[in-house]
Amino acid sequence: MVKKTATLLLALALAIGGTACAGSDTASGQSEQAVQSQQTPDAAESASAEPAGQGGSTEGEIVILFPNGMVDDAPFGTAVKESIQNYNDANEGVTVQFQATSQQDILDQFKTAALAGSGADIAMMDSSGHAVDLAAMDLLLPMTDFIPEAELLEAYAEGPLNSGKFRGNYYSIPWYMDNCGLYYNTKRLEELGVGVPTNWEEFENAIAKATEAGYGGIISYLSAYEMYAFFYQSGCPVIDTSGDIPSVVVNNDAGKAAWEYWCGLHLKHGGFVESFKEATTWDKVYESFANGEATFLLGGDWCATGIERINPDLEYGITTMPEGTQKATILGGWTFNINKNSAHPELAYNFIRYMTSPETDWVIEADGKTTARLGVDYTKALANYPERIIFTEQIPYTMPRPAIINEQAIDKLITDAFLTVLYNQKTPQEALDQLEIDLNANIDANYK
Amino acid sequence: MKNQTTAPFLERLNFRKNWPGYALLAPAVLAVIALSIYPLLNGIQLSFKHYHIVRQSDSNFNTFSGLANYVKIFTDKNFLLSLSNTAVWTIANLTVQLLLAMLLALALNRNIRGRSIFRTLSLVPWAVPASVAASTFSFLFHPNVGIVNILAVKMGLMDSGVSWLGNVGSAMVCVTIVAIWKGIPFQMIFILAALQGIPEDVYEGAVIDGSNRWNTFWRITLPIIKQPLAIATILNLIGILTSFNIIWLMTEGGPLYSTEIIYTYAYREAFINHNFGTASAASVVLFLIMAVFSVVYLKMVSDDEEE
Repeated sequence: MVKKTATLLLALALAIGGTACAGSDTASGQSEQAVQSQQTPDAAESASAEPAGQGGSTEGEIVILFPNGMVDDAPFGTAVKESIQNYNDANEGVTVQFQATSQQDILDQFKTAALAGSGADIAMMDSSGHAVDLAAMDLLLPMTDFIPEAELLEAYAEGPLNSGKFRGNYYSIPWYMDNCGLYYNTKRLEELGVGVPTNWEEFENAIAKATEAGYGGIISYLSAYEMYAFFYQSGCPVIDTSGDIPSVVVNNDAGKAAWEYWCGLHLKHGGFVESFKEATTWDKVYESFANGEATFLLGGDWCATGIERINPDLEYGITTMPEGTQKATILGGWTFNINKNSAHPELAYNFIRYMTSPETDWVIEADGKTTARLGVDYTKALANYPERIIFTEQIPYTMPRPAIINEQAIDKLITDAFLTVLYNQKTPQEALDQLEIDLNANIDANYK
Repeated sequence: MKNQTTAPFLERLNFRKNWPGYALLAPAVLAVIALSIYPLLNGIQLSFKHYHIVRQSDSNFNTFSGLANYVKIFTDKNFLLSLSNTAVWTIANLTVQLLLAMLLALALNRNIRGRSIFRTLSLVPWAVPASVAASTFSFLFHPNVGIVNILAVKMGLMDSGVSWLGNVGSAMVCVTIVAIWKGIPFQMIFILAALQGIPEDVYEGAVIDGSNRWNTFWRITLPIIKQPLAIATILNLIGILTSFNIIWLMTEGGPLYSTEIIYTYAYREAFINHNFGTASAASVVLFLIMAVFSVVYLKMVSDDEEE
């Protein structure tokens, strides 16, 4: 019996250890690959990278971690790979290699590697606050180690820069920025006799008309992404990060107005399509809109590609977010971050400087993205994508998510609060009161 | 000659004579220690520490916390919900898998035409990677284009498609169906192997004695396969309790934690909330549950053997 029990406990340990290892691996669906970009001699000749080194090492190898979509074989991915190759060709002794992983897992993968003392030299991070978490874990180098703060502020837009700001230091250099706009089904609006909505009242009216006619209302990613936009349009920052310790302001008058409006779209008009409840990937969002389930889609410029891939015949338009008491939308985009474990941080910074310089704007323009640098004609980037021009119109009033530790958890709390209303478990005010309590508890756990 | 059971432990190992065997075993043992025993012990000690990785500058980071992490998780309503979800998840999976695996094994043990093909096909769900199974079933359950909704609407059972994975009442049922589909072959193969070990003359004798099919199964087959069945059930139980991929990939424990089990709770604490202390405490609770089940089960089998 003792022998059997011991054997079994050993097996248990094996099962737990094995599953724990496999769990994080398979759950993240990692598809890491270390691939050196392919040579494109013509393009290489046009590269004029800055010389490496600012008193640091002048040669060596650096690795950059991208989400899969930035290094695939689509035009954007091809352009990224070409730009890396150009850099390698122009900088003797420096080799830039890239790794790729899924967008959803890039934070976890980098975090796990960096906590173990390794990881890619440069990691691309979503500007939704990922860099703040990594900075709080002391896994990133502040960018002010390489560039004076004043120059940083002069060169890049405040919103994207602030997405990587932690305890007064900037840990990210923004690459490109995007924001949330309103996609609408053109034919459907014509059929309903509704104009393109420009403000909250018109938007609610359009949704009411659509649902009364038996059509679906809104689809968006199941997260706080688009909810932030409505809070901002009401003048509520959700969490005030101006002080040393963030302060929850979601339940103030402006917050209540936004919350009641958003919940009212469901309670008064059944304004969210059924797919919204499980829209945890953007593919599901595109599908719902492209196949006609939803009349409106709230999302960034990248949604256009997804929609057209699924239904190239769909007639749709894109407009600015409906205006509340003020114009506002939510910031998206990606940033460069330097691993604290990097053996060649100067080389890493030089490469970032190259990738964010005007000479590589053609890379992000390949996908209709707009650089996060200041003093740029953003419309030029969209020459091939005129329908996306509205996203540049929104840039002046685009706001980032609160730069706060554990934004992922904050996002889930806000999403879950809305779900309790969507599932009729709570009234909007009860849900908002609980959200305020939960957000405060989260901030306590991370700051106090 | 000394009695084998009373001789000193090291003497019984007889290193001088058996060293080639131990040498061959050593890599595997070292691997188990490095990849299983060490993480297990490390996890247990982390559960008694302040180990919130975004608070590394705190003076108490990585210091002994007593039972604080355990108190924290047991006062967290989401952990308590994950406990009850784990119970539902485990019981539903284990019961249905055992029942269906038994029926399938009995069927595949009969002399039917194309038996080997059926046996091979029945193993397919087990061989399918969890990520593939999760994405395939997510598609089947899709509110707009999933076959489940399309059939239900065409048959007039519903007016329009439903988000099975997005509703609190149905998400757990859906992920359980997928886990059952995937888990049956594992249990079935054990039972089938045990059934094949039963000599044919035992059944012939039962027929001669006038035993009907039910009595033959209940009084002959089941007692004979009891031990392998118990082992298979224990292993399956461990697999179900530590199931993670299907749930995480299909629902991420949602909506509103309705499919959150202890494992997903621990993962969320570690990799989203960054608190490895509470994550380890939840993992230790999971380990203890598995250990208790296993010891109880073994005792039952052992008692039966003695009888």
